[in-house]
Amino acid sequence: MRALLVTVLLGGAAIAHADTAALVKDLGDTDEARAIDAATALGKSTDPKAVEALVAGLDAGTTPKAAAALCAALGVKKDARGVVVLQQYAHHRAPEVRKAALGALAAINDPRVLPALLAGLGDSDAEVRAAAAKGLADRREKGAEDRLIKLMEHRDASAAGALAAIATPQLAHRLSEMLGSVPDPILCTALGEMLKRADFGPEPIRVEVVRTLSKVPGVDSTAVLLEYVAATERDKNRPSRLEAQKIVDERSRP
Amino acid sequence: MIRNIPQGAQGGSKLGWFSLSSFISLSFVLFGCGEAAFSAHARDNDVGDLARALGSSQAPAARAAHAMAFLVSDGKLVGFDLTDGRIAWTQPADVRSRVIVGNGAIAHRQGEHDLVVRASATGEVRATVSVPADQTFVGATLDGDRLVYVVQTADKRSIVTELDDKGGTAWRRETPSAVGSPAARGGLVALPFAHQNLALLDGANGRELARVRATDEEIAYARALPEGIYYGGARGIYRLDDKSVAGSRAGSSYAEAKLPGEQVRTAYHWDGYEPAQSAIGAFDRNRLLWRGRDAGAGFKDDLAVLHSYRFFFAFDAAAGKLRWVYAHPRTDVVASEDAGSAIVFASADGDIGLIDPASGAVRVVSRTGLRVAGASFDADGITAGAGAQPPTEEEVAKTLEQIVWDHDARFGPVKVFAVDALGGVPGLPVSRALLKIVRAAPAPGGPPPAAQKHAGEALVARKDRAAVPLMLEALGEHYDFLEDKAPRGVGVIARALAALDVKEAAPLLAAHLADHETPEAALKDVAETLAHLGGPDAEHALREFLLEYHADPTFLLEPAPLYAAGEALVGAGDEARRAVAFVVDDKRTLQPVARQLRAALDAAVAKEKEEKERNDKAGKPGSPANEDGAQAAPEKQE
Repeated sequence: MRALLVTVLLGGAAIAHADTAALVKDLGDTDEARAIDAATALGKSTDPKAVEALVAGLDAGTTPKAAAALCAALGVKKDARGVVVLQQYAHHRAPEVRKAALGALAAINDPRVLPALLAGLGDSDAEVRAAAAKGLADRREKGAEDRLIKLMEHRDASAAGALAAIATPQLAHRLSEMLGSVPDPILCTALGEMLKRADFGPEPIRVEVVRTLSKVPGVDSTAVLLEYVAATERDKNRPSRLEAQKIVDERSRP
Repeated sequence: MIRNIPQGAQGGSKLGWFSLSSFISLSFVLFGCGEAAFSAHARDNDVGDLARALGSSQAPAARAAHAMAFLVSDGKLVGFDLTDGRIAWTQPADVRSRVIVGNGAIAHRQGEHDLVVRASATGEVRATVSVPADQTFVGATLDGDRLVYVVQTADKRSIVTELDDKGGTAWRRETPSAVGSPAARGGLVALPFAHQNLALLDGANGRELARVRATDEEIAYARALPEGIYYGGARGIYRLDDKSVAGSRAGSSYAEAKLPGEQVRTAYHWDGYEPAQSAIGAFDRNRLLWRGRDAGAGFKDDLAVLHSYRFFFAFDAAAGKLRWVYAHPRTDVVASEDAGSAIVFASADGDIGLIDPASGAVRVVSRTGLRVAGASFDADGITAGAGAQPPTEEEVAKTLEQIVWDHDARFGPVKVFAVDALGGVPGLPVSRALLKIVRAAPAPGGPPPAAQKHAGEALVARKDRAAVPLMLEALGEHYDFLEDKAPRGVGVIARALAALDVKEAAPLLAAHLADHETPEAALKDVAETLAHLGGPDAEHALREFLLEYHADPTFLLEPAPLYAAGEALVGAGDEARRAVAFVVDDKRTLQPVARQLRAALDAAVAKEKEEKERNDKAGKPGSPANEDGAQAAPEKQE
């Protein structure tokens, strides 16, 4: 039985190796769709050489669409060997390639990634900035706070989710003090996302966030508070929920 | 109709009326060049005729009284004594033309239909002429105190009339052809005629003495100056002398001011055929100020001064080099004149000033506070005075920079002109100013794109090594949305550094080549500069750039940066050439890029082979040619 298992595994590895060679060839194909499929397949491949093949594919250069697929495939690998080439492609002239490169970098646990993502927040393309912000949020990069606040000050909505993801009590307080100086919808989204985080607290800070939302006029803050009340249905006596409910009730009165 | 008023009479009183009809029959008397004035059959470009005409022109008498400015202001005509710096007289007047200055007399269009002659010392009216409603005033001149004026009839005939010093009609000539605004000097009247000619009439009787026919361009103006009579079209000035019979620019005493750039209109004179241009208008705020030499072609002291709105740029007319610049504060200068030993001007808010033509030293004679619409000057011989301080080279540069950054949107062409002028001023402050202009963000009132382009060209051309640290510092900046940073002028800076062969710029330029925010238009300059500078940083950047984008169809429209990168790598060693060979053989490579680089590779290989053979013959070790045409993808160099 054990011998059979080894045979199957070896056989599988042999197939994977044979596939890799074919896929590498396809990466250089003039048919862009074939190259993209090859990149995607290499991303899923268990062959250890797949990472090298993807890196080599980017090193050799290709069309922007194929480059984006190669970057995405490297992201699936989460392999630090891809960092250098992904750093390079995070500055590719095509925004879709930069987005893919930043998304892939965000998936890799390597100290060289943070500077690339922080730089991505300063990109001229809003979608690239959003990709960088998402990457920082996914990684819970506390060191991104200042750049993300600047992003918010530049009225970029992608800052909201990322700031919520890395929020500490201090950051919540800092954001509360920005009321009036940043667009209300972005601030409300950031504070609302913060409240959604189960690990965010302690409770007095949540109450402070709710009170900050109460100071924001309009539907954006009401919608966030209503959402919070609905999300905490099981914890009705939570002070922050009671506060939110009170504000919603007051705003509901004719 | 003519109403003549003796000198000293009160303005507006009318002493007599004269019919002109009796003069018409006298207008076709044959004299001078053998035909009636303006005859289609008259001789032109005849040496003898011209000599006689020139002989009849006497140098005008020197002005006996103080130098004066005549200011048109809010329904008034104001005589301003430039020597004493005070208003000498004020007369109510509805002035509708430039004030024409003679010797002891001035004249202007008044109201809808009148022409008036006034005493320049008092402003009192000496004579008034009515132009019939169906006639259009074209222009006038004063020969001493005798008025010569041209009108156009409804059926497009032209009538030239001279009034004597009493206001009576001295003579009158008529032609079916177009006649432009006249000029008169010492008894000789010069008139642009039928667009191609300058007719020279005897001021005493209106006989045509000679005719100059231009062969290269239209003659659109005639101008009388103490040093002689000048005429010309749009491009330059012809001095009326014995050479005028040539008719051509080359054969005549002709001069053109050499000015940097072609953005600002350089009008030597207004179009004498255009009735509207006899009025105070755009020409008075945008013109070239010049004087002729005492003899022959050229400009006095080789000086040409461009007046544009608030600004004066003085140039060496032969070399095109800036001598000085003056920017009048706040308001436009509405009138100016080169009075020979001073540039005299009047601003819209009543400042009267003098500029020393040699040094640019400025003396504001008076701030009258008058609202001035236009002005004329009788100021030959006046000087700015020893007290006026000429600007230093640094002040000139600063003034030019201020012009470039002026918020007035009308100044686009002037700003380009100022940039061109700035480029000719040496020194680091100017290089810094040019760099600032190159890097300016587009903004209302900022340097227009054309000015930025010219500033870039000037920065590259001046090869100022002292400015290298400034340029390297500028290259250190990259785009950042969050920091509101957007580097501009990267391509220009690259070219400037290439011109100076600044090797240490390579890493900074390499970073810009790899930066997606570097504008597409700058990539070629950056790549070419890196190719020029060479070195490991440059080669690495060019190699990565070529590989990364060789199959990117967005480069199909402008593949030059890829050409530059590939061609540089061909000559940069085996490893670099291997990358080019890979790109050439890669089926995904953009076809134009593959073709171009294939040719570059083949040429390099052929050259090396040739060299090797030559060296072999000479018994020297040859340089190994890479002829294997490596196909494999190049390895990453980190």
